[in-house]
Amino acid sequence: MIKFLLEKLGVLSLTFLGVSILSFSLIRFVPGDPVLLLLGERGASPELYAKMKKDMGLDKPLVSQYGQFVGNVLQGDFGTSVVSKQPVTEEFLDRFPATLELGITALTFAIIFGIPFGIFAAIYRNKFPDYTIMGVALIGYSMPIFWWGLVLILIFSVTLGLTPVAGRLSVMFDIEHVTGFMLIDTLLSPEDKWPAFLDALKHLILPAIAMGTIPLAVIARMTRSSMLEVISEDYMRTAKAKGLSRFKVVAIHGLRNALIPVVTIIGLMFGSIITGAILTETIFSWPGIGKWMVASVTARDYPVIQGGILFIAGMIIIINLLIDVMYIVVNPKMRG
Amino acid sequence: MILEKEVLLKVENLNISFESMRGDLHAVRDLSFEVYPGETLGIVGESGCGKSITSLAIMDLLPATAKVDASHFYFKNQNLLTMNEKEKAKIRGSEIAMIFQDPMTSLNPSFTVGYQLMETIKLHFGGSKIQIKEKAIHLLTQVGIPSAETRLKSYPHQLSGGMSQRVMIAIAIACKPKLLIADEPTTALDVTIQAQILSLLNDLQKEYNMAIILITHDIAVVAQMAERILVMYSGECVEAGLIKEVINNRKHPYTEGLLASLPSSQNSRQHRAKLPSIPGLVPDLANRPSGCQFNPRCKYTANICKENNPDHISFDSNNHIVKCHTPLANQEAT
Ligand SMILES: Nc1ncnc2c1ncn2[C@@H]1O[C@H](COP(=O)(O)OP(=O)(O)OP(=O)(O)O)[C@@H](O)[C@H]1O
Ligand SMILES: [Mg+2]
Repeated sequence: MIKFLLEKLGVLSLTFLGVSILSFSLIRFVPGDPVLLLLGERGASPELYAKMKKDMGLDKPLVSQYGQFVGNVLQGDFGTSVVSKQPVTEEFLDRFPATLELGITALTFAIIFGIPFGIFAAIYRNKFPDYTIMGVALIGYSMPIFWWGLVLILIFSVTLGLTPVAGRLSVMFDIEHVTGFMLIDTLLSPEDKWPAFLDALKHLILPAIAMGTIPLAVIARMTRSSMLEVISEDYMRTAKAKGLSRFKVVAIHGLRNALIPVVTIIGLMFGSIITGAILTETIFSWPGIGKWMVASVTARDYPVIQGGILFIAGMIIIINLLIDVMYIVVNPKMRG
Repeated sequence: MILEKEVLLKVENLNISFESMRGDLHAVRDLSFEVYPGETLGIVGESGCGKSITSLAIMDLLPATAKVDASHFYFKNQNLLTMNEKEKAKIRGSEIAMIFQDPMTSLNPSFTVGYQLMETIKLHFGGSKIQIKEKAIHLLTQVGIPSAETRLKSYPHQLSGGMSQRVMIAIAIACKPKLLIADEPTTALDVTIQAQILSLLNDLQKEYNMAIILITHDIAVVAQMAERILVMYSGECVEAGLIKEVINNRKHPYTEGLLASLPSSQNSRQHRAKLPSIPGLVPDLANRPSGCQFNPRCKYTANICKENNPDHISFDSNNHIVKCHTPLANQEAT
């Protein structure tokens, strides 16, 4: 186990290095001059432009810029936003809980519905419930998030008036940020506990559905095929021969084995959730890192982009590590 | 003759077919047999003759594509064909238990040996956690697993094939079943382990007075273990009777072929490859031969064999029956 973790760590540090190079160089290949954007085309006298460029460290050769960047990062300094003049770390930590809350809710939604649907489809293989579930899953899988998010807003917010259109919490509530998770913070607040919690939930629900739809479809399909494979295993026959009910055979003996590949997929999804966040957060004005990254690319805010991508990569890497550990927990063969 | 009311399992005209794209495949045809309490019935036959599906039909473990039909299909006085799912579940594991050919894949890889064993005990007996655990330890010890208590925490992949089969046996006998179906219990194991498992089954049978249906393609195993034998060919019973009777006084050419491919006591097992085997292949279920199913491979085929499928004829009073137009003449013990 320890050896396994050390090996993983080795691979991960290399990944990190790769990500840092990519995040650094990609943004510099994108056309658009951050200095010009900051100054505005008209306000830029050549002297001011040169001074600004020097202040931002953009006059040096790329290699030394990169060296500076890595050196700072190793000392825990991810730079300062050109636009807001805030440290990137602070900006990130401000926004990350929002994305995490949204992502966790979306994935929970996807898991809670995806796994039972997958099992159900497998049990009724090639019958009506199977065709229905898999048909809907295919539609869900091919759904463009942007369009789907707007449809959800149109139905639930505009037409039915059930949910708010944007943000995390209505302005009338003043909630102290403790954990950064709105659902928890509202419950921790001394007054307006439940109304605020409900309000936060209402804000969360549509973006979570929009973001969780594709993962739901993937999990349902994966669970189904994995379950079908497992159903024909010898040990399932043994379980039935013991006198266990059909439900117990599937729910106990089938599920544990069928979930092994599903857990892997869910882990991979956690990474893609952050990419999903870019679209979802933009549609629902969700103040998370997705929206933050989009804004910083538009403003060519180099430090934010570089630092933000590194943070995101770090999160994905940590999550993957956790998933690997979880995989060992569900699969006894991995324990050796 | 044993009294009719004592019969544990009575099967009459069992038919099993599978829906397939080539039409219905009639895999078992008009198979009849009985099992009495405490005895061992050996079922032998080549691969694909329908041994496994027959035993799975008894437990209703066949896939949904299988159609099972019989004129009489009773366990004790319960009709296996009309029972509902709940009643079947009650019998499974408690009154009829089963062990399978491949013990390594028959245990669930994700649960400990202890869980899988205690699950059965809990299901059919209940009891406190400690009682169940004690019973599990007792069972593992009984099937010859050393340091049973620590073994409870093992996962199947940590066990050898022989050990796994012992665990399977422990699960099967947990509820003292009246009938144990052993479908090729030793085929996947090596020879020395084979003998140990068979003698374990023998001991347990005596202790619990349980009937065993021992399925194998090795007639030598049946000769050693069973009182009665049923020889199957292509889903039909071709010969059945007391084991001594059938071995010493074989009537069916197929039985003769099976016995000829046995190593005699002088021949060691290594010589087996050189022993005569029955030429030809088992018939394709979708394209069965007319008349006797064995006629394309039989040395004694006559015209009538190609025209009519023979009925069972009975020899002597011990229910020695054979399905053949040209049964072999009486012979003295070999
Ligand atoms: N699910 C199924 N669908 C279609 N045909 C099947 C199915 N299961 C079994 N059969 C057919 O039924 C026949 C009997 O199979 P069975 O497994 O009972 O053979 P067996 O005597 O146990 O052989 P072996 O010694 O190889 O275990 C075979 O011809 C097989 O092809
Ligand atoms: Mg078989």
